[in-house]
Amino acid sequence: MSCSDYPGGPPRREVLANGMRVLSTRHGQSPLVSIALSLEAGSRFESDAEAGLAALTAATVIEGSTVRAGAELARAIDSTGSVLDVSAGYETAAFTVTGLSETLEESLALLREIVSTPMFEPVEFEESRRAQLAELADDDDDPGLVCRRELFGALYEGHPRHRPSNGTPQSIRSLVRDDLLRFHAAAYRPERAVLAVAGDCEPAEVTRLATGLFSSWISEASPAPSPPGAVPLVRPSRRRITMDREQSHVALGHLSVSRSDPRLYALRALDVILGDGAGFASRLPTRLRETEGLAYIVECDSSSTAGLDPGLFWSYVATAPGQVDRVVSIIIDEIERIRTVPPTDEERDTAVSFLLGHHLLDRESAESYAMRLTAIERYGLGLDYDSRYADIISSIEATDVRRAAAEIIRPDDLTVVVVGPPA
Amino acid sequence: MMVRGAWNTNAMATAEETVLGNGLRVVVLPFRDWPVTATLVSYRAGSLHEPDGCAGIAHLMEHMMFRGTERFPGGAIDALTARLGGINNAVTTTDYAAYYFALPGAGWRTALEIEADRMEHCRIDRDLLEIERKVALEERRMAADDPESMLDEALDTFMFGDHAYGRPVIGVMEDIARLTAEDLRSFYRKRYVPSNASVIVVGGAVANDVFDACSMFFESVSSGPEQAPASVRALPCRDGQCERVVVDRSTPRVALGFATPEATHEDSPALELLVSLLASGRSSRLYDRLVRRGRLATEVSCSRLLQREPGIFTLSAALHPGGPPESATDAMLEVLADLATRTVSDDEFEKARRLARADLAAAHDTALGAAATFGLWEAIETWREGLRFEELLERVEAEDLRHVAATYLDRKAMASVELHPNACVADAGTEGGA
Repeated sequence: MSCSDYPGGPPRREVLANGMRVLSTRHGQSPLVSIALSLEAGSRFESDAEAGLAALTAATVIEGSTVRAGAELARAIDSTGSVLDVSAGYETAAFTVTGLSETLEESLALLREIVSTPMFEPVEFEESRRAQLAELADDDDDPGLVCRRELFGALYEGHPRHRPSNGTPQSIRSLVRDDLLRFHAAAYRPERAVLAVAGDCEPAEVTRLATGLFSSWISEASPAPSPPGAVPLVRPSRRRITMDREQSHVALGHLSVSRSDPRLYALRALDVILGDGAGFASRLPTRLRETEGLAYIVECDSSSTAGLDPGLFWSYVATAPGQVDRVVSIIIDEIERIRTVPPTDEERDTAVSFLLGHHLLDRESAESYAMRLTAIERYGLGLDYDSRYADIISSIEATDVRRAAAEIIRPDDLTVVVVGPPA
Repeated sequence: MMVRGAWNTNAMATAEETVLGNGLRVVVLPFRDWPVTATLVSYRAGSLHEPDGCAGIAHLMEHMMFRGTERFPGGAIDALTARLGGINNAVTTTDYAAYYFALPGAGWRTALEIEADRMEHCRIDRDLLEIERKVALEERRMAADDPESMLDEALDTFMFGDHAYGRPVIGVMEDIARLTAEDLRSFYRKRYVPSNASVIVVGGAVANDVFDACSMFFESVSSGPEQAPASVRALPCRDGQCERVVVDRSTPRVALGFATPEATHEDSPALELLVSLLASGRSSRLYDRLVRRGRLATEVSCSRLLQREPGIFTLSAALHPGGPPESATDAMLEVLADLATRTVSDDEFEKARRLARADLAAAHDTALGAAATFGLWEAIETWREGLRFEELLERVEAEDLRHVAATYLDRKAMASVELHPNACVADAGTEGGA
C-alpha cells in the first residue's frame, strides 16, 4: 500500500557553531507549534550511587534560572499559553514546549534560559527531591509498574538500565546540590543537544531565531559523562512479589537488539504479527483477549525499547489472580509458536501495511513530529529518513521476519515476574 | 480554508453537514492535503441512557460492537484496520459511545462501510458475550486498583447519588455479571439507530465524497424508534459533606466536586476558563497555592466535563506521603473563596485565555482529535453548539470568572472525597460539612 505524505516536505537542518543541531519543518493544520529539545542527559549516564540524578536535575532545571526565580519563570512560560513538559528517561532529558505559533520566539527564549542558566536554588532542589521521593512511594503502590521495574531490574543486572530512571529512595536521599551542578555542567551542553521545531512555522525563521538565541550558549569544559558498557548476560529467573490487589500482573522477557541492529525493521513487523500492534488482530491478543477473555491489556514487543543499548523482547499482561499460570503458559506457547509456525506471507503483508500507515499516524501532531525529528537526528538516520522509510518497510520479506524470530526470540531464556495477591 | 499564523476561533466553522432521510447526521471537516482521515460515529448511548439495574450495559455494548457482524465477523474489523494501516477503537462516556478509525488515504470509505453494517447487524451472540463479560470484568478490576479512578468514582457516586452520572461508566461488578444477551439486544435496538447517531469525518476526505459514501452505506438503515429523553433524577445536595475512604496506598488524595450547569449553559465558557486559571501550568492558582507555596501536594488538577446534563466541576490533589488531606481541602477552598471575591488581574486573565486557546488548538491538531470534539458536541446537542461555545470563550471577561466562582464553587454545593492511607487513619466514614 502506498500513502501520500504530509505536505511539509523534508525538514531543514542547521548545526550552530557551538555544536547544537536545529531541525524544523512546517506541519499541521492548527495554529500550533511544538518545540522539542533533547539532551544526552538521561539515566544512562548515572552511576548506581546517583540513581535518579538525571531525573532530579531535569525536574530542578525548570524551577528557576539566574534571570528569574521559579514562580516568575513559571508565570513567564504560562503567559505564552504554552505547555512545558519535562521528562528524563534512560537516554535523554527531553523538554517540549507546545503552544500557539504567535509565541514561538518567546518560547524559544525561555527554553534557552531554562536549560542553560538554571539556578538550582537549594530550596527548589529540596522541593524537587521531596517530589521525587513522593513519586517513588506512589510508584511502589502501582503493581503494573512494580512488575515492569522488576523485569528490567532482572534483565539489566550490572547495567545502568536495571535502575528505574527516577532512582531509589536511598539514592535520592543521598544526592546533594553539587551533584546536580556537576551533572548539568557535564550533560547539558550544546553539542549534546538537538532542537526540533514542527508546526505552524517557517523553517528559515526557526533557524534565524535559534541561531540568535542559542549560539551564545557556550559551556565550560567539563568531562563528558561516559556511556555504559555492554549489557551483561543474565540467567533466566522467576520472581514473585505479593501485593494485595484485584488483579495480578505478569511481565516476562529477555534481551533483544539495539536500534542499529539490521534486523530491527523485521522485528517491528514481527511485533505487529505477535504483539499488540494491530489492535487485537495480532496472535497473542487474539488468543488471550479475543478467544479466552483473560485480559483487557495485552502487550508484547521486541523493538520499541531498542535504543543506543539493546532493548527487551517482553510481554506484559494484567489478569485475574486465579488465571496467572494459564496466562503465562499461553504467552510462552505463542512465543514458541512464532518459531514453530512462522509468520505467513499474509501476516507479513498486513504487518507492512500496518507499519506504513502508522508512519503517518505516529507523526500527525506537531508534538509527535518534533519529538520524532530529535530521534532521527540523535540516531543519525538522515534528513531523508521519512522519505526512505516506505522503501525500508516495503522491502521486509516474510523470510526476514522468520529469520529475526528464529534468531532473537528464545523461549527457554525468559525471565518471568508476577506481582499480585498471594496465589 | 483555515487561517494560518494567527488564532482562528472558527476552526470548526469550515465544517459541512447533511442529514440523511433516516435522521442520521453527517458532519465533515476537511483538512487540506492531509494524508490521514478520521471517522467517528457517536451514539447517544452512554451510561446516562442505561436502564436501572444495568450499570455497565453501555460499555459492554461497546465491546460487543467489535465482535462484528455476519459480513465483518469477529476479528475482521481489527484485521482490516491493520491492513489499511490505521487504528480503531471506541470510548463510552456518560453521554455517548463513540466508535472511531484513523486511516491513511481513502481507508475512511471502508471504515464507514463497517460502521453502517454494525449500526444494523451487530451480532450479540451468547458465547461471545461471555468472553467480553470476562474482559469487561478485568477492566473493572483494573479501575478498582487505580487510585485516581478510585477517587473519581467515589466522588461521582457520593456527589450524584442515584442520579445517572453517579454510576461508573464501566459499570458495577454485580450488574456486569448479570446482564443478558437480550438486555444488550434491547439496548442496541433502541439506541443504535441513525436518528440517535452522528457520523463525523475529519481529514483529507472531500466533503461531497463523504456525503455520497454515507448515502450509499447508511441510507438503507431504518431510522429506529423515537428517542425518549433520558430520565434524569435530581442532584442530591451534599452541603459540603466529605466522605473519607481508607486505602492501602501511601499517597493521600483529595477531590472536591461542585454541581455546575450543562455544557450549553451561558456560564459554561466562563467555567471553562476557570479550569485553565485554576490548574493549567505551574503558575496556576492551585499549583501555586498547594504545590509551590503550600508544599502540601505533588500534583493538582481541575476538570469539568462538557456534558448534556448539569454535572460536576472537580478539583483534586495528590499529597506528599503523610500529608493530612484536610489541609489540601482547606487550601483549595481558600483559593476558590479568593476567586469568588476578587476579580483576577488582566495579566492573569489573559494568561488563562491563551492557555485555553492553545488547549483548543491542540485538541484539533490531529484529524481524530478534531473528530472527537465534534462527536462530543453532537452528543450534547450539535457541533454548532461547540462552535458557539468556542466563540463565546473569546467574549468571556475577567468579572465573569468571579461571578461563576461565586455562583457555583460554593462550599454548600460541594461534596468531597479524601483517600486516607491506612497507615495514617484508623477509621473512616462520612463527615458533615465544616
